Amino acid sequence: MTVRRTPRPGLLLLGALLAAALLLAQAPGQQQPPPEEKKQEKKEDKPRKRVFTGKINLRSSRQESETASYGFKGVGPDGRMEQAALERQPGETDYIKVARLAIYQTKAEELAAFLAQGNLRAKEKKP
Amino acid sequence: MKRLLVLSSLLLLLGLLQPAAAPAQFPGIDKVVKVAEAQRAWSAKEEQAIGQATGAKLVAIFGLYEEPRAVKYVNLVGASVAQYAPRQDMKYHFGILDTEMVNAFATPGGYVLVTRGLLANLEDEAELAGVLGHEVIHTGERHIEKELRSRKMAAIGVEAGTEQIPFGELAGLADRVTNQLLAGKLSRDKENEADTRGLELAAAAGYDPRAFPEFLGFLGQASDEAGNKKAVGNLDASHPKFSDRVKRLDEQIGKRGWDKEERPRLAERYQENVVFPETPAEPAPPGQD
Repeated sequence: MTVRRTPRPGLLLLGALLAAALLLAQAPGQQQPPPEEKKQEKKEDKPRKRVFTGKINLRSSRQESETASYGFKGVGPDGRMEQAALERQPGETDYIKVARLAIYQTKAEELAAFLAQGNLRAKEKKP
Repeated sequence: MKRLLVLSSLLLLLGLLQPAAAPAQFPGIDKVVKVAEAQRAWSAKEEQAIGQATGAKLVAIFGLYEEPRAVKYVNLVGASVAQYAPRQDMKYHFGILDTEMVNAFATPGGYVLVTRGLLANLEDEAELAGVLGHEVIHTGERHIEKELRSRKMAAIGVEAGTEQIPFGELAGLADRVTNQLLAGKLSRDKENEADTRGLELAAAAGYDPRAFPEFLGFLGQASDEAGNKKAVGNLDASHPKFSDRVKRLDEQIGKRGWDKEERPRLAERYQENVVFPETPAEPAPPGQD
């Protein structure tokens, strides 16, 4: 006598769970990070208009009386950010300053005059 | 029959995974909300809120340089370039961070912040336009959001039934974005896109496009000097090699025939407007705002 096996609910649920997990893993926006970019060989670039001779010192926006390390704020000697600086949390004043940036808008007539003075191009407005 | 049962179980389970239904009916599976949220793009409102919170964090770290003439000028050059930005459904805002580090940052929501150190080392307005074009593309194309999403770090836990991001969640997102900007890097593709499309913006506004690769070439040479590491090390570590970028941009300039045109560089106007008359005070220590 042949016994017909009836599907077990537990197995079915397990299968469904696996399928759902697969679907979620393949969903858009959940892609794996791009593979590590291939390092390229250092190559000398061709000469630029700017001509440099000898040591190149970056200019500072600070006054001469200030020390060389003044004004970097949380930047280490190799240019990387120090952890303490990254952990700094903004206060009310910082939010207000950013809000002021958002409120400030260049006026259309000011921009037009600025472009004209510099012999630059204003974007043509669509009719 | 078996197939039908499997299918109905699957549909039932997928139904349960919908975020709206999850927390209320099935306590304990609220993590599902976060998984679902991670897959969608930030709304314009969320983009703005995250951009402002990130901007505030950058200001907390470096301070904001608010010399009116320089701020107005950077905004005018920014607006000249941004008028050609492909994305016009948001406003672009430009500011100056008070640090000697040579860099520029684009947060979500249209905020572009250049540093004093960068301004001090630019020769002319056309170079500034190239830098701002690069950053306008970063923010307009949501590069930081896409980068975080690719690392599964873009999820927003929004409370059911509200559109507001809880403050703690917003601060956490601003931390992630700031870390990405200051201690991480974007993919080479995104940087290349910002370079090439940003240059198109500066050129469309009428600036000499050769200025930007010239400035990058200068930074490449400057970064070889040990004494400049503090100023340019962060920029160097977070971007593709300067020489590679210059090469790509030079090719673009050649293909577009821009190397045969005489266009304005506006060095004099730049020097007149970017001034550092006095040193603003260091930002107050945390908690003393």
